[in-house]
Amino acid sequence: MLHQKAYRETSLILDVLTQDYGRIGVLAKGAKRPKSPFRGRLQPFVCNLLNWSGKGQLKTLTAVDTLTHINLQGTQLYCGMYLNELVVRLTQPDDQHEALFASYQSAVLNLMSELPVEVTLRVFEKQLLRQLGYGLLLDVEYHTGTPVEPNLWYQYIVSKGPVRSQVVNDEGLRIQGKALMALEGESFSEPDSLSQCKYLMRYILDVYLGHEPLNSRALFQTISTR
Amino acid sequence: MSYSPLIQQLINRLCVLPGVGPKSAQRMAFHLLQRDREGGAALSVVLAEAMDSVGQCQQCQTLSEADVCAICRSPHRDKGLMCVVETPANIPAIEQAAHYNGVYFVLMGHLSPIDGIGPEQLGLDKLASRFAGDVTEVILATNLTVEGEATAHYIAQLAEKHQVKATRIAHGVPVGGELEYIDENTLSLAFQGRREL
Ligand SMILES: [Zn+2]
Repeated sequence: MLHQKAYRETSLILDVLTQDYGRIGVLAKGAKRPKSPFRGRLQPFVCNLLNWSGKGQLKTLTAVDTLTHINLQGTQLYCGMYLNELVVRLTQPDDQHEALFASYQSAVLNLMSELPVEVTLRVFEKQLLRQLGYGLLLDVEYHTGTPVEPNLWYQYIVSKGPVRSQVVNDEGLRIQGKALMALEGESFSEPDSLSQCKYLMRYILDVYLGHEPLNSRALFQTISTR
Repeated sequence: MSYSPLIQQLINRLCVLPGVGPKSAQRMAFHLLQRDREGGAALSVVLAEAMDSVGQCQQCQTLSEADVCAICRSPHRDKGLMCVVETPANIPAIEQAAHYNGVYFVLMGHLSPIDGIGPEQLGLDKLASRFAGDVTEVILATNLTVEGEATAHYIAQLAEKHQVKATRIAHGVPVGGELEYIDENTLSLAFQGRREL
């Protein structure tokens, strides 16, 4: 479940990421009524088995069975909202992205685990871009095709990939080889690499998000600067 | 079926009320016209007046025609204790149910990034300035939804920064609720919020 909004008095319109049908819109009739069988099961992040009818843009919910309860707290919750906003902003309704559901599910579960949330977010962002067809070149230098070297610095150009720093001056974002390798391997042993990747992903995502910034990102910023 | 234009207009307008469809709007219109002209006239006057003069309390943001609402004005309320709620309708509910003698702050919503509602849109800077003033303790009574929880967490952080004590209302099994009939999410939250006896 990605998002819900009120519809009429007692119903909800749900934004749902499904395993086989992409992101879909579902109408949950009477879901806000005290005795509705849907009540309490349609909150964001929860993993449900859904039955629906209808083939149009807006399906009608017929049954819900909860598979995984997700209770995110504090920062985890902000991160979860960030994931949901990313998915809603970057995917089109009814577009299928085969592996996105699995990526999303493991990201939400990882948010509840011991894994640092920053790692979970970076890995999800990378996988999301790949599944949208904007996969990142991370392992080789764009012009030469030579493997990225940990101690060299590169300029990351969104339409290309890592370019050796001497070649280009200020185009792209400056990043060290070991940060690129950490993102490629989804394993961050150095805090510095993780922080470089945060700026890299922000830089790249901004290109695809256009002018409107992510609102949940502003939420983090307000907190951290206070 | 067609009515005279004015009656039809009245029926259409009554449909703005929550839960009122064309059928009940028609019943209401005929009730007022046939049986209670006086009541209808009084309703129209007070409705116009309320729409025109009800604004928001400068201190707690609740709906009020006075610049400062009765609760915020009252000398008997503890100004150091504040309860944060999502909507004005929560206030009478708490007033009735809890022995609460503090003041309120009404957010008029909750944080919802996907809908474009951030701290700024909720007037949280105003809340922060209240924390910098008299308030020493805040009770977070936002809804027990994902957005309500995020909002409570955000305000708790804000409170911490101003050394204001923050507490969250408990969630769990409703009174008279048999476990068998409670949805799993509520039960799962109730387990998380369990306490020692
Ligand atoms: Zn007030």
